[in-house]
Parts: sequence; structure tokens; C-alpha cells
Amino acid sequence: MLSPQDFRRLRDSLADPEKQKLDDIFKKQLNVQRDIIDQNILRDREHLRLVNFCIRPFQYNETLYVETGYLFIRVEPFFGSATKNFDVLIFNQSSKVMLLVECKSSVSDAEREVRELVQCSEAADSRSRHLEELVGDAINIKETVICTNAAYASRIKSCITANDLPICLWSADQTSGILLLEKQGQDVNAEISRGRLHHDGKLTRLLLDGVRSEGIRSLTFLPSSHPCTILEETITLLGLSLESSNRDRFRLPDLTSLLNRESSLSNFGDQELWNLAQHLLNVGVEVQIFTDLTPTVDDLGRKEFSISTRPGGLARMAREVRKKYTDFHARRIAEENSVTEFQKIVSRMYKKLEEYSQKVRS
Amino acid sequence: MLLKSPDSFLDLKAIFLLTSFKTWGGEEPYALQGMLHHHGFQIRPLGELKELLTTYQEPETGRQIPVKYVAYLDGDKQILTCYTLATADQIRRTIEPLSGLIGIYHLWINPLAFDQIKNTILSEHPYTKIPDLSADRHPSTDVAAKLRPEYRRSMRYRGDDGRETLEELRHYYGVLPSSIHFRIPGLVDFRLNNRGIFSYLGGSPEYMFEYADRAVELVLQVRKILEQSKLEIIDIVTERKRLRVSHVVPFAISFKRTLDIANTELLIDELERNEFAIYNSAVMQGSVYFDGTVLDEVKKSVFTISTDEHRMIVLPRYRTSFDSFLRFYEAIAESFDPEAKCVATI
Repeated sequence: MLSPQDFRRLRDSLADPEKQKLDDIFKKQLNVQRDIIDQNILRDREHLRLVNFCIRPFQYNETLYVETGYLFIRVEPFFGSATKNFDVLIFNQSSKVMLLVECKSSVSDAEREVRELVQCSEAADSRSRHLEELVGDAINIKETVICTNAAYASRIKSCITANDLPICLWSADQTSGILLLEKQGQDVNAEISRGRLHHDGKLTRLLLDGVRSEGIRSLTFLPSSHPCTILEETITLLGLSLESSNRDRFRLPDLTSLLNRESSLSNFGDQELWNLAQHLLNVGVEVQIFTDLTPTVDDLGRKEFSISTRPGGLARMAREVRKKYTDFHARRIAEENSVTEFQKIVSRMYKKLEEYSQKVRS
Repeated sequence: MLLKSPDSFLDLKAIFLLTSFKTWGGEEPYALQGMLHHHGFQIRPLGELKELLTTYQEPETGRQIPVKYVAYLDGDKQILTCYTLATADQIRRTIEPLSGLIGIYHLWINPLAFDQIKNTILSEHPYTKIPDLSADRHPSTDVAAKLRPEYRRSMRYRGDDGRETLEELRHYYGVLPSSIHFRIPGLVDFRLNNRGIFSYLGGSPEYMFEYADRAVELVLQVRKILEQSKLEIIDIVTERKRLRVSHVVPFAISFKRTLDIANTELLIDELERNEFAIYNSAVMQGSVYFDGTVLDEVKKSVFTISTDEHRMIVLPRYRTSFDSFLRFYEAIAESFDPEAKCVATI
């Protein structure tokens, strides 16, 4: 990986016309990389909106929980492990049926998405004990669900039926506020045994009719969300918490206990929270959102950090996260890419020069 | 008891403040008494009432000017009423800043409720005159104006034809009333402003207090909706584990105007101008979805919003209280959509 110093050294070694050329490439690359990061963040937020829309009827005291007992328990049940994750875990305590839901806010390659989901589902089968530990209960049946925005439902449906896959398909019409179970075949019993309708008759009936949902933002991030999103959300709460206790420095356990109160991370274990906090700290220190105040201390639990923003209050802090993150990563990738591109141009130029001189010689 | 001889209380003002307090409490900083003390009020008991004495520095002379209030806390309704003969400027400098504290907010009467009170008075007493009124226009609102709608306006009108003028001003200049002086012949003279300050100007004061009660009731209806919203953690016990799940109850602000991409940006600007920082937000074009997290920089609370073209769903996240939500609703109604309504979602 190219360091900022490498980039500067290379730039300083160039003559003015080459330097200008490198600067032009870098500027163009910087804008491209900024756009890419912005697009990634936006895509991530569209995904989050779909997840929120999907879980709403399964939340405590909401329609499907009240009518059927299916309750939203947590997000990303395999967070921190190598197993490919689902977005949502829903569990019925009486029937011991678990729904593992994957949300797709947009679909470019339906075949691939569905194939990957089948792999996730198989991996989940091999980790049943982990799932039982998460809910603290036995699991009789696991059902796999893909939830997608209504516009993509028919493409996913074709793939599931064409490959005869055991996947229930929920279609989210966020404009009219309806979450719907797609009927993929006429024979209800056959569809249940194929895993394309829910075993619970009432859940199936209600979802086939369509259940009202609102896109309320009860989850503000997922653990796998873009780091910028998680940092924006946590840094404000961290700032408020430090302000109210008249402190300006914090430790990893402070961040962990803040995450522990975070409703987006309900039913996450201590180790998971610790890992996530550590990840956030690493990202934050790397992009200089956090400052390591004790660089000589190795014990992560005892290290102290501060939020490194210019004065101007918490609002500025939240805004700066996005800017610092984007600037840091866009610059890093832009430097690498512009050096590669510059070297290509230079080598092409030398090749032509060499060809020309060979011609002259011959 | 305050009003045994009404004439001696001419220009008495009753300032209504919504609070989260049911009692005065002690000197602790989180109790009402302690909080007021901390903000420069000396408090002396007067039976059920309290005398609040404070000072402010007069900018012209640098002198400390004393200002006195007599306050009553209605613990059931959680309303603190402060009575005073102080001037509007003195009130602005001493008691109004309390609205910036956590757990206290002025009795803001939203434009629809303000209109309702005005219409009630005018219909119950058809001969009512409006000799004096103030009205404002925020160009970012969609209130129609025949003349130069792009201008921010603040008007004060004095004249016996104020009742008619109010309608004309609205029609031509797109202004909405923020303060109205009602003269109900043979009954009472009083001024009402939309920040919950009633000024007694003559006649039988009980009539003014009757309308004050009605205004309070309208605001309490809104407060009830705001206070129903919550984010609480519920324990669910399974065979081997205690799971913690969220119970979320949002409230909604329904818009009269349709939200599109252009005015969503305008709304964001207006909210930021009112010290609500919006972050982690996304405006999704096509079907106009706007999501985000909001930091109330004044009340130090955090909540989330999720908007489609007709309404905004608001959900508590961190240290939210009715006063932060009311401030948020006020920012939307005053600077974006005066006919926005606060509605329960349950």
C-alpha cells in the first residue's frame, strides 16, 4: 500500500510538467473516490431503511407480534464470525420457529443473490446451537426469508421458483407501506414443505394479505453498516455523554457501555460489543476522529482517547465525521490510483520514445 | 387572590411554561427550585405561590435591573404560571430564556390552535375588536402571499379595524398572527401571544383566564401526543435467557404541504437554522424518502426522523423529552408548514 509520504516523495521528485500531470490525475481520482464513498453510504442507508421497514410489524406490541407471536430479536446473528450473515433474526417463543431474513434493497444479479442466500441458510443449519444460544431456547424450525423492495420481487421470485429453492419472499412496498409475502405456487401444502410459505398458517395468511408497516427508524445502524454511519451515530451520543459528565476523554469500556444501551444492538453479547467498539476505535483513530492520548499504553481497556474535532459543539462533530472519513479514504485510494495511472502514462510515453529512438537508430 | 382589585393589575402578564416538574423540589440542580436558583432566581415562599426575584443587566447603562414574578406550579398539569408587571422586554431577558433549559418550555400555541382560539373568541363575542396585533412571515413557509412572497416580514398594526386588517394582511402579505389584543366590549381587554403570554389590559380578568385555560388545554393535547412516544426496553424471558427487545412508540407530524426534493432541502435548512443538527441522513430521490438522526443542540437530546411526502415519523433515541419535541414541532410549524399537525401513531 502506498503511504501519503510515498506519494509526496514521488510528487516532489517530478519535474513541473509531470507534477502537473500527476496533480490533474489525483484531483480527478479524488472526486471519483468521494463519489464512490458517498454512493456506498447511500446504498447502505437504503438497505437500513428496508431493514427497518421489514422488522416494524415484528416489533414488540406491533401487528405480527401481537397476532402471531413472532418477535424481532436482533440483527446480524452471525456478527463477528466467518459465517455469512443474515440481517434479521425473528423468533416465535411458543412454536420455536425462527425466521432468518436477508434484506436486499436493490438487486443487480438475482441468481447470485439467491444462490448466496442458500449458502447462508446451509451455513446457519450447521450453526443451530449458536442460534439457540442467541435466543436461549430450542429451535424447531428455521425458515429462510429474502425481503426485497417491491420493484425487485418478480426477478427474485423467478429465480426461487426456477431453482425450486426453500426461500420465502417478502416484498416491501415502502410507498404504500405494505409488507407482503409473495405466493410462489398454488398448492399451499406443497409450498410450505418446499419452504416457500411459512409453517405458521396465521403468519402466512396475514402476510399474503399484506401487513402495514412504517419505515420508522428504530435501528440507526447495523454492525456491518458503513463505518461512517456507525461513527456518526455513536460519536454524538458519546459526545453528549462526556459533556454531561464533564469529561473530555474516554476509554474503550465507555464506548462498549454506550453500545450496550444502543437499541440497534439489542441482544448482542459483551464480546460482540467489545469487538464492535474496538473496530470503531480503530477506524476513528485511523481517520483522526479520535485521538489516542496514551500511545505508550498497550492494554486496550486502559488506553484513553478523546474526540478530535475543532471547537463548535456536537453538531459540528457529527458533520465532521463524514467529512474526515471521506477525505481520508478518498485521498488514500486516489493517491494509489493516481500513481498507478501516472506510471502507466509514463511507461507508455517511454515505450513510444524507445520505439522512436529504435526507428531512428535503424 | 391576585386579582381582588383588577385595576391595580392593569398590564399584568401571565406567562405559562410547560414543565416536566410536578413539585418545586429542593435545591438539587435537577429540581425546579434548584434549577431556577442556579439560573439566578431568588425564591421566596408565599403560601401556595413562590416569589421569584431576578435581575438582568440593562445594556444602555450596565445597571442591574430587578424583575419580580409570582409563580404557581400546577403539579397535575405540570404547568408553571408566572405573573408579573414586568415589561415584554424584561420578560424576554429574564424568564423566556428558561425555555432553553431541559424540562421547561414556553406554552407555544401552534398556528392552527392560535387560529382556533381567535375564531372561538370572535364567534362567541361577535363584537370583539382587535385594536392591536403583531404578525410575521417566514418566506420558507408556503403561506400564500399576493405581494412579494419572498420577503421575511414582521408587522405590528394598531387600529380599530384590526380584525379585518388581520385577514387582509394574511391575504396580501402572507403573515400569520403572533400576538393579538382582543377587546371584548363590556367584558375584558387582553392580549394573547403564541408563546403563552397573556396580558391583562382591563375589564373582568376571569374572562382572560377562561381563554387562557382553553389555550392550555389545546397545548396539553399536543403535549400528550408527544409524551406518548417512547423507546423502552422490555424483557422477554425464554427458557434459558432474558432477551431485551425495544418497544417503540413514535409520533408523527403530518404536513399540509407535500414534501418534494426541493422543499425537503429547505426543511433541513430551516431545522438547522433552529439548532437541530441532522446527520446520518439520506434523501432518496424518486419517491422522496428522507431519513435521519436529529440532535437538538439546545435540549441536548437525540431522536430519529423518517419522512415521506405527507408526514414525518419521529422516534425518541436519547434523552428525549416533551420540550425537545415541542421545540422541534415549533420549528417546523413556524418556518416550514404552519398547518403541520402533531398526531399520535397509536
